[in-house]
Amino acid sequence: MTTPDDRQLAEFRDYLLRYALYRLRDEAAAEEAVQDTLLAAIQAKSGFAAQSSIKTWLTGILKHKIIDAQRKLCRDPFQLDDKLDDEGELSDFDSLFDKTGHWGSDGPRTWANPEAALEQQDFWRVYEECAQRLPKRTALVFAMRESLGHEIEEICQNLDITATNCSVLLYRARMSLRLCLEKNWFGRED
Amino acid sequence: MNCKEATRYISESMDRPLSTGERLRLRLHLFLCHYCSDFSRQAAFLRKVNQQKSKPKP
Repeated sequence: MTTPDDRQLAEFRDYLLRYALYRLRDEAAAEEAVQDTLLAAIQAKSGFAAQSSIKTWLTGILKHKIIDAQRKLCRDPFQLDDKLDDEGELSDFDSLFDKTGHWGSDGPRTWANPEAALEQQDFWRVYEECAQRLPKRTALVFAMRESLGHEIEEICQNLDITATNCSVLLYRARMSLRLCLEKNWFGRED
Repeated sequence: MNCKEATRYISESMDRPLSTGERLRLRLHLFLCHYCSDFSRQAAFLRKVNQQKSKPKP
């Protein structure tokens, strides 16, 4: 079994990019993780074990690069448009509640047949737009929890944040996405 | 428990098991509050959306 040449490795670029983007929700970070992976692969071709496929081998390297990138995204001060404090106090959504902490006049409405939306391409486009509006760190934690099904301990450990911070970010994501979908999909008058 | 707290507990219940006390107070709140009941269903729906997103599209 020969080691793969550079061109063979590059053929997996698109696949790796989709894999990384799905986990990082950030194009620049995904691009960088994939480049680092291909670079590492080119430098370490001898590490390729013939019994695994090139794809599996590259994905294995990429997984490590993704964890590094997740940590970096989470620490980058320019990304911290979603502030956190240790008490987990939240004032972001205060305007939705009245002084006693109950839903104001704009409380959640009943969504008619949400399951049917899953079959409509337009719904997925609206959902993607809503998801794009989340702050990066919030989006990252939400994707790790809901798309990848990671447990909280795992997310905290990978990103080096507290469980309280984690639950605050997940709450924000759920509140924002719910509100966005209600405004732009389920509340539409048509 | 008011709605602001209830929504926090609903969200947390999706990520960790609530204590017996928390669970009972939340259940009582949900029984009385249709807004939060809707919120709870919608948060569960968001999970479903994300799980389906991982699968090939129709």
